[in-house]
Amino acid sequence: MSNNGETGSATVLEVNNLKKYYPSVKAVDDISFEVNAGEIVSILGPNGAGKTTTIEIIEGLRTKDEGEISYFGRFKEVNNEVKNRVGVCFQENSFFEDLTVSETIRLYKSLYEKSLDTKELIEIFELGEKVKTRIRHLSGGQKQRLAVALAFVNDPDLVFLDEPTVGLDPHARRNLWEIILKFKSQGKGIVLTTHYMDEAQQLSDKVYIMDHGNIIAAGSPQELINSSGLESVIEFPEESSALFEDVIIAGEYAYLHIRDTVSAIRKLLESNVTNFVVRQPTLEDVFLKLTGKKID
Amino acid sequence: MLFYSFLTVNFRNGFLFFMNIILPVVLLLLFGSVFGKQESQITVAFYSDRQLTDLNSSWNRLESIPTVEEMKEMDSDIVIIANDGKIDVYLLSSFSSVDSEVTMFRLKYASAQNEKPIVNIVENKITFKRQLSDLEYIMIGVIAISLFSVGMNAGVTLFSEYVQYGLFRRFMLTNVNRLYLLLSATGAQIITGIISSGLVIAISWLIFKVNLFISPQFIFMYLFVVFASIMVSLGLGVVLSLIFKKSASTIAQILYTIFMFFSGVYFPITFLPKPLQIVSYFTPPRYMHVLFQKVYGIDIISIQGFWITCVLFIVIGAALGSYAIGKFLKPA
Repeated sequence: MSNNGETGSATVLEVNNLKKYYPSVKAVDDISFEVNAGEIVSILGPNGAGKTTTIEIIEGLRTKDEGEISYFGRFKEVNNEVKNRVGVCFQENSFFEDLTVSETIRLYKSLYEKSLDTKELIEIFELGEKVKTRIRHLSGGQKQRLAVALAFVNDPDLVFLDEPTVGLDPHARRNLWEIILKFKSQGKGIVLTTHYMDEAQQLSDKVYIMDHGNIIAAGSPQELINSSGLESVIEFPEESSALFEDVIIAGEYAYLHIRDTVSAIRKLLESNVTNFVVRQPTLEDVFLKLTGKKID
Repeated sequence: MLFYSFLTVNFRNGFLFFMNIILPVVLLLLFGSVFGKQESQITVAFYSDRQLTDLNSSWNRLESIPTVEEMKEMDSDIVIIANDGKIDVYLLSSFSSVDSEVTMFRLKYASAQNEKPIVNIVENKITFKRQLSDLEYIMIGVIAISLFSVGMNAGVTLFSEYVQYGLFRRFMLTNVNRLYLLLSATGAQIITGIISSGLVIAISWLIFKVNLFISPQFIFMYLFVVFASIMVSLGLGVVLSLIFKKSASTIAQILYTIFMFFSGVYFPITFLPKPLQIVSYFTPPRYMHVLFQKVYGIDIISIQGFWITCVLFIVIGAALGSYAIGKFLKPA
């Protein structure tokens, strides 16, 4: 049940029975989910699962065929007030390449009714040294940080981050996680699309796994792992996959989800397979089990 | 801020800066150096009641003081009448700087064997229907083609490149409306166009002594023509972007080259073979050139025709620009 007030648990986004059909494909096939304030929701899925179409419909970049979207419990469509309260970071971002970082932030600030302080934003996203640098001279990681910064420029209540840490080194990724968590603690609802499973596992309160336009699993990362029935995972080279019946092959590795770990290890050793890893299941294993694919 | 951004990009982006500012200057220098020599030979006709020596051989001495009507028939840029210590200068060409000629004449007249000092020098401007010199014609053509470049490239950059790069998608998520976007984009181009044409005018005067400065009474007309020219060129850029999408920029450069040669702005259209003369009727720079000639007092088009063409250009540009912005700011 939605709480339409503006408190910490208010529903900032509610999607019901959303559908988008193209002549040859059901891109989004009757999906429903919600995002609360102060919550990070991840949408995961292989390429072509319908994630981007779903997000673009919600953002107002695409039209829907059927279904209902409710923003902040009050609005049924993307009007000016919704735009003022929504922030977006695309997977592929584009800027006026010949403007500087500070000019770009000021430009985007000017397009909204309210905004965060430029200096504060620059400080949070560690762009201080590049403030007078033209965008075309920034590295990929710096551009990515700027793109995420621009998603927060209007101090939004609901933020869509599509692959926000792509192109960042591990240290910068961790830093950005901290920033995202800080904004979450301020009560912003965040919708995250990522192909980094560790990122989804670390940041998300709820995860929706999509495939073929449907949501095939939903829950917190731990709930998904628990409900998957996976106890342990054995990872070994793909050429030995014939040893077992229910293996999932992804790239050079085969993944065996099994309860009887000891007998599986014995079987591998008897076949002279020694380069294997036994570990606890992760969100990635859940994804692999549900979709049969490793996320690209 | 959006206006500032578009304007800043025009001057920081190497390609746009070259097309909007550098290329017109290069064309100006190129054509000016070819045609400038004949223009520097200002033709002078003079009457003097004193015996003057060592005058330029091209100066034409008159035996009697001509009437104004007779002066209008003369093929001279200036007529100088020096009589009884008074010098009257009649400017027949408003495009030429004649200061050096007048100064030289004054010195010769003052130093001649004489009885009286020079009492006064009076400059008189005679206005009548006149033809442009080749250089003047080309300089005005450079202004027209540079504004065409500014407008068309703006259209292509906005609706092909920025759409292609996803900038418009990002704008869709903000509260920017199409009128604000259109006004910001065109406003920036108009300022760029004024700077570009101002540079052409200044260089024409500094290097080639061709006076293309706008008379105060024509300033409003000039600004209106700049606006109209930018709008119709922007409209063409929009059409190219809608038809050719990603390759619009390349097509724009090809069109620019074609228009440069076949719009008749660098030489009279009558120089072209008959079939190619028809092409010129479909080139906006041809009409922009005509409008600018009107601004410089050349009666090549009626005043009604001038205003109708300007308004038509603005309406075409605004409609196409507005349509394109609406199209690209609409959900897919």
